[in-house]
Formats: sequence, structure tokens, C-alpha cells
Amino acid sequence: MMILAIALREFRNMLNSLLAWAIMSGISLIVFLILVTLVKSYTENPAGNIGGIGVTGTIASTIFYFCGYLFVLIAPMLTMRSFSGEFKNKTSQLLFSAPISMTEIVLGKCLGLYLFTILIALIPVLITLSLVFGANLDAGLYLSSLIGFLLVSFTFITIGVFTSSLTDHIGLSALSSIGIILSLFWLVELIASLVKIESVQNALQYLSISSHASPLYNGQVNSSDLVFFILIITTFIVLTIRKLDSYRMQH
Amino acid sequence: MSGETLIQVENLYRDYGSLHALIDINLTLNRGEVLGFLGPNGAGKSTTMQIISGNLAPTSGQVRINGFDIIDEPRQAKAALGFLPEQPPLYHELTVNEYLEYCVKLNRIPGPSAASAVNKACDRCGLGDVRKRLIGNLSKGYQQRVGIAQAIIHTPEVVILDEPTVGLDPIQIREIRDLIRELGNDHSVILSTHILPEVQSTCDRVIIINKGKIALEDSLAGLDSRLQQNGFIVSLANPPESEQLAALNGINQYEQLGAGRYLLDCDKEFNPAEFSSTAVNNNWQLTELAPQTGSLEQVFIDITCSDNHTNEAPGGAGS
Repeated sequence: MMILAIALREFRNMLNSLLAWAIMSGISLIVFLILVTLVKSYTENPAGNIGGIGVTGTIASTIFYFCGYLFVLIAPMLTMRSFSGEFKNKTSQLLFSAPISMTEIVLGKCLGLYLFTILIALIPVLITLSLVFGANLDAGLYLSSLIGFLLVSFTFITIGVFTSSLTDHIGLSALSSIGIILSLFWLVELIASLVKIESVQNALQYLSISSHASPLYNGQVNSSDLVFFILIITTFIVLTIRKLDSYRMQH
Repeated sequence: MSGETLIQVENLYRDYGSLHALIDINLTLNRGEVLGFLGPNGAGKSTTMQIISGNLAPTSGQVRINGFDIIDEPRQAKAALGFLPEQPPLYHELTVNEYLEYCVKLNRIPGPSAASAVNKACDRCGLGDVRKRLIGNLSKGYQQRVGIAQAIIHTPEVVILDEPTVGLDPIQIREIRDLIRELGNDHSVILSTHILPEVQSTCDRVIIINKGKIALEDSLAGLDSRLQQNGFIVSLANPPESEQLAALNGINQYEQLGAGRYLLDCDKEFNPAEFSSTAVNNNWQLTELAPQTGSLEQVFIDITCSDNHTNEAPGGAGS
């Protein structure tokens, strides 16, 4: 109930923000351009599609995969104000002196941003669904790619909410979330490839977000990957709650 | 249930690193009371307000609101609390209505009574005309009123207002003070300020805080009697010999302020009527006879500056 009120407020804040609309129009343009390029190369050489995964694999999954990459930059832009802005404008005091717990505040904020992410996800969904006019889509592969994109973007959003709770400086909040996202998304894998010890390599590989996302983009829904995403999202939510609880101690 | 204790603060300490912002603050507030919380800038007023409202954790000590500990049972404690921080926590991109509806939800007021809570708060704070306007476009005075509306929207037992009249024009200040007095009828109010007339016009009780410690706690009536120093200022166009003046009944001491103008330090036996008739009989040509009422300002300056003297030997500019 409380969570929902905060979530709706956050969602509406997003709808009120110019940045969010700019992001959505940017995504529309980029996704459309990718679609045109992919459709063109597919029609010119239908046999050349990777591993015979069809229209869905070559076009729809690729678009969702690419949108996941875009969210490395988009998620921090959406989340940078979530707590930093409240700290900066001192509106955090409204939340902290209301009879609600930190857990409710954090869950509400995250939920609102997840809802907005789903709204953004409608853009690639609608654009890729336009393929049904000319081809048969593989529903299973399509859905698992979509789930992959949503889980990746939810993870990035949660990381962004966490870094936003660390500082009242909005730019710093965005920058540090890009840092953490890139580290978990890509850097750990890079380091893993350099490390010679196998157990460390495996551990680093396990931490990499992209290694858990790629099976989903290929139509493979492993419960271990889902558990990984749930774990990492929960971890950052708990960290945010802890951070806000200790916010009252500092200054 | 008057006399019921709504806020109880015990042995409150707060350190910012090596700086002791609050040292052993104790205070209680009963239902229906308006408590003035006074102090110079940086005395620890806002820190105390922040701790009582649960925005800041104390280093040690306890805050109980309506019997609930603010740290251990925050939900119950905060439900009984309305807080207007120094800077009103307003979302400038929302309209007054949208903002107050959000506040209603945050304070867990159930759906059916939400609309009436918003209406009531708007009425009390005089926001009727601006309800559809964006908060960011309102004047400072209206923004402050929205801040107050936010603090009283769930009709909490305790309302804490941190410098509510800063930056307002005199008419707005008067309106806000009237509102605070009205709030004092059915809520308990803590009013933090460094504006002294505000305290004199609205509060029942005063706490003066200086350098993180409570320097004085008294009811306004008690303070008034303390202020009613038994002094009179008299002006005589044809003043008598000084011995004659000193010999009068009830005058302990006097001080010459100017030609024929005296400050008389008297005790209870001094009767102004008697003095005026004596003056007339002796043809002293009385032109002024005024009780010298001390102001809260003097008490305030006495307390805060005397402390300055003892604690800060070097560089004490003001005396």
C-alpha cells in the first residue's frame, strides 16, 4: 500500500521529467534504425543468419540484447535523482518523518522505476512486434529475450538506486552507478579472462551479468540465471536500505 | 486528557565528529502546549528538531513521542508527529493538491478520509485559491503554508515547526503565528525560532538553548514575572536633590540617564501613584513615568552572551 504510493509517485515523477521523454525518443530512434539495418541484412542474405535461429533470433533478440547495453547508460540517468535529488532538495525529510519504514521507501522507489522501465520496454516490444506482418515469430525465444532484457535493466536500475542513496550529488550518483554497472557487466569478465587460477576465474565469471543474460537472449531460461538476477537485485536493495538507515547517523 | 506528556526527551547527546552539538538535552511537552525553542544560530535547534522527528539519530539518549520510542517503534512514533523542517520538503513540480494527496498516502490515512484531510489542511492554512497551482510557482509565503499543511494533514498529536516564519513578509508572519496559536489548541507544538516576538506572541513555555545546552526553561508567565523588573523610568523637568529622590519609599537605587531622567530600581513597596503625587506636591514637574519592562530579548542576550564570555575568553567582541 505504502510501497505502491511511493512507486506511483516515482513513476509520475518520471513522466514529468523531460530527461525521461528524451531517453524514450532516443531509444525509439535507435531501435528503429537497428531494426531497419537488421531487416535489410536479413532479407539480403536469409541463409546467413547466425546458427539458423530465424527472424526472432537475428532481429528481435539482437534488439533486446542491444537495449540491455543501452541501459548501461540509461539506467543511471533514470535513477540518479531517485535519492540524490531528494537529499539535495531536502524532500527526503518528508519521507523520513512519515510513518513508513526505509524498506518500504526503497521498495517503492525501485518498483516505480521498474514500472517505468517496463514502459520503456514497450518501445522495442512494439517495434519488434511489427515483424509479425512479414514473418513468424518464435514466441518462446521472443519472451525469453524480453525477460533477459527486463532482468538486466532491473538490475541496472537497482544498482543506480543504490548509488543514488550514497550521495546528494546527482552527477556523482550517475557516474558511480555507471562504474558499478560496467564493472559487473563487463569488467569482471575481462579480468576473469586474464586470471590464470581456474576457481577465481569461475567465481568472477559467475559474477558477470552478461554471462547470465546471454542464455536468455538465446532462448534458454535457466533457473540458476534467474536466481542470480534475483540475488543481485536483492543484494542492492538491502544495501540501499542499510545505507539509508545509517544516513541518520552521519553528517 | 490535558497534562498528558506527548514528547519526552531524555539525556540527549549528539556529536558531529569531535563537535558536541547537543549536550544533555531534556525536555517534555504536554498536550495542548506550545513550546518555544529559542537559540542563536548554530545553537543546536535544528539538530534537536531533526532528532525528535527521527531524521537524525542521537549519539545517546532517548526520544519518546506519545509514549513510543522514535528509534525502536518509529512507525507509531512518527504517526503522532508532523514535522516542518527548516527548508519545507516540497516537490516543486507538483501542484498543491497532488502534493498533499501524496502526503496523505505517506501518512497512511485510509482512502475515504483522504480527500477530507486534504480539504481540511488547505482550509486551515488558507490554501484554497492555489490548490491547482504548481508549488514551484507559489510565493515563499504560500510554500511555507504548504509545508505547514503537510505537517498537520494527518492531525498529529505533535507538530514540530522549525523556523516557520523565515523569509516571510510581516502580514504572512502574522497569519502564520495565528495559525500556530490555533494549532496549539488541539495539538502540541514545538516552535523553533530565533525571532523573539514570535515566542512572546505564540508560546506557553520557552526553552533557550545555547551551545548545545539548555540554558533556560520557564513558562512564559514565569518569564514575564522575571521580566517585570521593578524598575521605572522617570523624567523630571525640575529634578530635586539626589538625596531626596533616594530617600523615597521603595527606591533602592537609581541611575541618572540624562538631564532629569532617572532609572529607578525599586522594590515592591514602590507605588507609582504615590510617587506622582509626591512629584506634584514638590513641583518636580513630572513628564514621564514608565515601568521599565525587560524584554525577552534581554534575557536571551544575557543568557547567550554571558555564556560567550565564560567560554570564549579571547576575541569576545560582543559584551
